[in-house]
Amino acid sequence: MRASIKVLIVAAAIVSAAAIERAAAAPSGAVATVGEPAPVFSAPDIAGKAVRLGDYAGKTVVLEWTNNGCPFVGKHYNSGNMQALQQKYTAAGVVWLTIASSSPGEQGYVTPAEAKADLTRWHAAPSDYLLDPDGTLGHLYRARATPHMVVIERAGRLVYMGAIDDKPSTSLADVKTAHNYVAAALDALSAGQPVPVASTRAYGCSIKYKDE
Amino acid sequence: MRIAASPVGMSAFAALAFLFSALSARADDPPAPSDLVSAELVAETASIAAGKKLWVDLQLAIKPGWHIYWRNPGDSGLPTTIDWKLPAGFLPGSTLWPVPEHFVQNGVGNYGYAGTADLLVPITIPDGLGEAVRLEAEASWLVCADICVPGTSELSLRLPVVAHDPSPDPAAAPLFASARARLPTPAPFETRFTFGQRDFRLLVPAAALAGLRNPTAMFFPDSDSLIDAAGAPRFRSHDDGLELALPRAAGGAAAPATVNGVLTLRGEGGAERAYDISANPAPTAPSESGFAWWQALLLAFIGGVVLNAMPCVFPILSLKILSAAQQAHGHRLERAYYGLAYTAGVVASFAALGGGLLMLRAAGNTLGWGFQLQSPVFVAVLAYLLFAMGLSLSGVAEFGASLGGVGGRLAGRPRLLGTFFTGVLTTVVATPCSAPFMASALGFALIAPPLVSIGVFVALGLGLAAPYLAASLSDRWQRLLPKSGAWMDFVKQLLAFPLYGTVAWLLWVLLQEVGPGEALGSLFGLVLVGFAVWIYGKTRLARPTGRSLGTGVAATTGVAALFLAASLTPMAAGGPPARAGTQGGLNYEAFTPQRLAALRAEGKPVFVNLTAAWCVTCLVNERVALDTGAVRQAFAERGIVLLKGDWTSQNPEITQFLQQFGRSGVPLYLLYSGSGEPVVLPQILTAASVLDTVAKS
Repeated sequence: MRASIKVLIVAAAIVSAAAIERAAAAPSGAVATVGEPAPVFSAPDIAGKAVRLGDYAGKTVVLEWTNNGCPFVGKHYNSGNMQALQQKYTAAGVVWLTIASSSPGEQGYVTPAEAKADLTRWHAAPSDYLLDPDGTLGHLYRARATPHMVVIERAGRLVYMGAIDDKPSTSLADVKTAHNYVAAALDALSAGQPVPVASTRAYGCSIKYKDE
Repeated sequence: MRIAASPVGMSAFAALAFLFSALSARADDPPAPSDLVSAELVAETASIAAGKKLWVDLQLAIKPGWHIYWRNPGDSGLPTTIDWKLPAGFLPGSTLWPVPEHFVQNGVGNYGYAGTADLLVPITIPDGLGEAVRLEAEASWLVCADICVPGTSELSLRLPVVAHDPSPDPAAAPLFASARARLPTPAPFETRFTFGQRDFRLLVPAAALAGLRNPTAMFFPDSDSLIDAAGAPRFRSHDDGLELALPRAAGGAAAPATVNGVLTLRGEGGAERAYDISANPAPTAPSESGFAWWQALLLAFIGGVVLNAMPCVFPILSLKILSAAQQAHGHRLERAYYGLAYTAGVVASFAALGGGLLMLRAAGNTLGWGFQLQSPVFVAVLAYLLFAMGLSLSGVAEFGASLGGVGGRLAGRPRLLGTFFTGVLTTVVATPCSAPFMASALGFALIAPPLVSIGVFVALGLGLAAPYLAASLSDRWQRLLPKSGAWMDFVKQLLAFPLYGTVAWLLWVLLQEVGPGEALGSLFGLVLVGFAVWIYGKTRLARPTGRSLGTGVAATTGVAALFLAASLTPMAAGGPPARAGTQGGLNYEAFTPQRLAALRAEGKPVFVNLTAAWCVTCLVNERVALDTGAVRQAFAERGIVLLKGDWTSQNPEITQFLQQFGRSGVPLYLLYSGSGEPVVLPQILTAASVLDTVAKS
């Protein structure tokens, strides 16, 4: 009896030491990290339905942060680039979620009706459009500029996060000559290859988060 | 000469942005770009001359509440650009940017300018000019408040050409004076940086802070992947200067070789200075760790306990158990004394090793745990000592109780001093092994204040000694030990062989450190040690004169062996060429931080193995985990590039790299995939754990 208590104490000490070591090594907070499982979320879509990341288990998921007044977002919608990506990859079975994280009163904040109007006007074709006015989802995925792009592979691991392409500008002409990181990541996934560039810094307009 | 810019044109892009916004459901009419920023080109002189340099100022006036961006804009935004259209032969130099401001709003950080900004550009003027020249440029910027609006402006300057000295422009002089006052100046001091797990730290020397009261600082990096642009700077003052900490960018790249950017220093009362700096890595890391001191002590203690189960300690520990059997039926108090003497030996030697390490580091050496094994003299002397001990166990000579506590007088009792030295020996042979938890604790120790550091070493020693101490105090454990008897002589002689094994291994380490040519002397030294032990043993039963003579000869021979060892010097700087090339089936390249950075820049996955010939744990890991068919195949399939860093001899580059991961010694295994943080593999590997990590990458 006494011996087993001692064994328990030793085991507890080792486990707690391991926990301390891990806690010190791991980055703080459960924010999105490339190469790690994508953090789970639940957010309302424009139809008022709660959408969870888990709803799309087994599918490749793209997250696209948008702001309808941002000239960088405008570059990709006015050139037809974003819609073309949405059409091409949703047709291939990819789930594409557009997300607005602007807080009420700020540029890019949309009511469900306004969001629907944007989709119609843009001829946009995401799988769904999520509303995140309190910025929870945006902060969780470290979105700081629009457009901010995230790719999650079938097994739920975050494989790409950052800019849509390598030409940080508002010039429509640059879309044609830019290297599109999101398309490259999705093509690599469908070919069973590792994602060539897994992390970049998004360029664009600051996301207008709710005051902290 | 001041020439008004041509009207600020609203570009096609801006027009589209306007249209886009106007069409959106909540159309906040964005202001016209020309209302937000007005741009002007101003030349420093009223005329130009062939072969001279002309300074031009792109003067930007920004509407209150709005801002434009620095060359690294931070989390969002775009830097202002100037697209020159110059006559043939005119060459624009690089833009000089004024010191930026740091804007942070709700978790998004930017570097830029509010109010006005002057971008200064030098233009080299060729020979063979006409009467006048026209310089044209298109300036483009993004200006943001709550919303962002891009703008461009076509600008031009017409300047007459003169034969000799260009005429000064009195109107431009004050403008250029104030624009230059806003430029950072080259730093007249050296700044160092460290790249920790969480923070990037700049170490600003005290010389830079002269005349500033309660100084604060900010750093604007040229690279956009170094720090979190929204992060608030934190400061710590110490005698050497000011330490500025900024959180690292999430998913940022590996540690850069140098860090460039602008450092601003502010004192109370408004004094402000700004410098262009190019910082190199600091030789030692300042304290930064995820641990509290008591957690480090706990890890060290448990690591010490676990160290008992590692192969290095085995030969000595088995001797300890043997000597415990001798004392098993002694008085309880007596046993406790021996237990405490052993503990004191272990703890004192850990404290001495730790203290020595800290002092050497304070003296500017870049060393880490196991540093003593990087000295070939130490390795040779340790081989001599263990060889002599082995011979003694084999019965060649009997040294009383001093070596291993079982040096022959089985019927007698080992002396306390002997037991103490067994403790010392245990520590010395334990250092080539590393146990789980130990690495983190030791990594912490090297950067903690001295008192805490020594505390960590002491805790490690206490952990190593604890099981033996507990056993010597427990009556129950003592009853488990067999009675001493003739069998012990047999076991004692048997235990000589693990010691010979250790000697063979130490000689192999020695060969790695000094090369085969240099090692010859110390190999013959081993023969001298053998002779010394033999003559000592042979003369023990002689008459007093013979005995003294034997002791004298043995001592002289022993000293001669030490001389042979003392002449050893490690191979040329960097030690033996890092053991790259094919080892087993694995194709390693030699590790350097530059090579790692280059591979990472190409986006290649990389496995880094930092090892040393004397690191038993490393060698075991390679044999049982890394150099196995399944792991080789997994590495090959994923195209993972293998880098091996050899820390057998001193290598400050590797020591610094280890410190970035909070480590003070080898082994360290890292797997880089994608562009994120590397995965740090455990100290003790199995093929399954490596495969699992590779599969997840």
